[in-house]
Amino acid sequence: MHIPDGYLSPQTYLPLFGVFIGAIAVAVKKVKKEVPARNIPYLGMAAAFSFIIMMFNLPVPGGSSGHAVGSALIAILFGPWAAMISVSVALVIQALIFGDGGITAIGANCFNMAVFMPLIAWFIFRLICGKSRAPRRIVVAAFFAGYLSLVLSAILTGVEFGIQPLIASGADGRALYCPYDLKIAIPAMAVEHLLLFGIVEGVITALIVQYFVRQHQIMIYAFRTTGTDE
Amino acid sequence: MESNIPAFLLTEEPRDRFSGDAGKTRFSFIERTIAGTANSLRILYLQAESAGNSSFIARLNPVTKVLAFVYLILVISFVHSLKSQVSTSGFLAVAFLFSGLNMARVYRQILLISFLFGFLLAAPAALNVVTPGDILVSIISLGEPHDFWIYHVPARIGITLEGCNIVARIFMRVFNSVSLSFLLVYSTSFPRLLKAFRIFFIPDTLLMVFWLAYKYIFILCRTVEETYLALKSRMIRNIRNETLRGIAAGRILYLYEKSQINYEQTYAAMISRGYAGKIILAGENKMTVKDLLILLCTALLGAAILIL
Repeated sequence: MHIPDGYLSPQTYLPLFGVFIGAIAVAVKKVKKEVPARNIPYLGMAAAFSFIIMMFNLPVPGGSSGHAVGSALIAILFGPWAAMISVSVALVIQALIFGDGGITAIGANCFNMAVFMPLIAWFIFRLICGKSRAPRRIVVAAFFAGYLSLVLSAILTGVEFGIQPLIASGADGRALYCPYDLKIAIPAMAVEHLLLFGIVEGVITALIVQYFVRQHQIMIYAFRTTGTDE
Repeated sequence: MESNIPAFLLTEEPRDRFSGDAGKTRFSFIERTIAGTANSLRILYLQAESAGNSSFIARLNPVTKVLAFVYLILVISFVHSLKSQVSTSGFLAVAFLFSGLNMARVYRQILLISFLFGFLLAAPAALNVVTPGDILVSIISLGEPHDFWIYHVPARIGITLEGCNIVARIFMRVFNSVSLSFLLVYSTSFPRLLKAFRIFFIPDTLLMVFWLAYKYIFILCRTVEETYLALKSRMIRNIRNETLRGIAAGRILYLYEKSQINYEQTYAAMISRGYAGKIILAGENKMTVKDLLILLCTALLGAAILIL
């Protein structure tokens, strides 16, 4: 999911960077309204937690293990606006320190995983969960929030890859950036996330949310804002 | 007398939580991840903090470094010729010589990342299925071409010269970008680097969030390491996956609670130091003639790379 340097043309990464900056400005305003004085340490904590979640391997049913992108989980735990900022901070630190995701692609990666993904996850979670606090429904909502948000973000990434040969090619018609066109990039990204990574993301999100629901339901942002017992 | 030993160390684990024989535990994959990340963070922290005034690159004003970094990253992204990318690699290697860093260690890391993201991801583009052209090395002969849905598979599949050029270009771009970012982060302490980013009008509030997150990450990494050491020391045999999932989820909840405590303490500390809702970071040293000369040289170098 992390787009490296060299795959996206400036025609793609510059506009995405602009959209990302706009989204972050809105998110900062919203979080400042929600936690007026404490927003700085709160966001710092959320960002560090996001970073750690992304490196946390969890055993998944079937014997293997995997780690989540974590955007859906962070959106459920901290809310979509705080998730936007905290996941972005985590992604920027990852790109700078670990080379995981490109520097020029920071705007695109943050847009896909820190803006689009938490918003979609939050929408799906609220759609399935409604105002219910029934544990099984919450867990199902968390699974689909994790699964679908990752799959949709992967397809979006596939589109960003796939349009490169169309918008940035040399005089000889060869691709200057990502060489895979839409008919290769979209299926490649969609299939692996539909069948494998999406399920891992969904399972991990559901497992952790289930644990939080059992132990400290009040810590979940979604239930701090609204909700009634079923 | 009340015991100071934690309760979980005094209670016996239920037998159904274990599976298999005593001996090797299934904790290794978690341990490897945690150890790997914690180690990378530790190296970065030590390198950046000890960078101080130890080398020519480290002594430069962070604002100069950040401006040069952004300019060169854009140049690398805009350049398409292999000759230019190789020249950039040469220039970066010279810069590393002046950085006082352990070049073997840093380049090992750069090569690994470049291989994963620059070569492995791009490698299929070398085939004529993705990049049509004259086949250099034939891999499979299917007898006749095949068409299904929107895809066309030629009769002979092989590596093309055009495809190799594309793979080499992507590899070099990734290699140079990663080299440049490592040169920057390994030669500048993180707080100074963040302050330098103010030149792009990033609000101090957001920079402060970065700085706090960076500090918290170190604290949380140490917590994770200690937690796993404590858990590992109690594992005498394999435990069931279900139990392991519960333990890992429990650690995440524990980390969340720990993060909340850190956040509350930080906020209390900020209040006690007179924080009233507005953050103003102290400014960096002013740019000197040396810094301006470095920027001019970088600008000329970037232009030369673009013209090559």
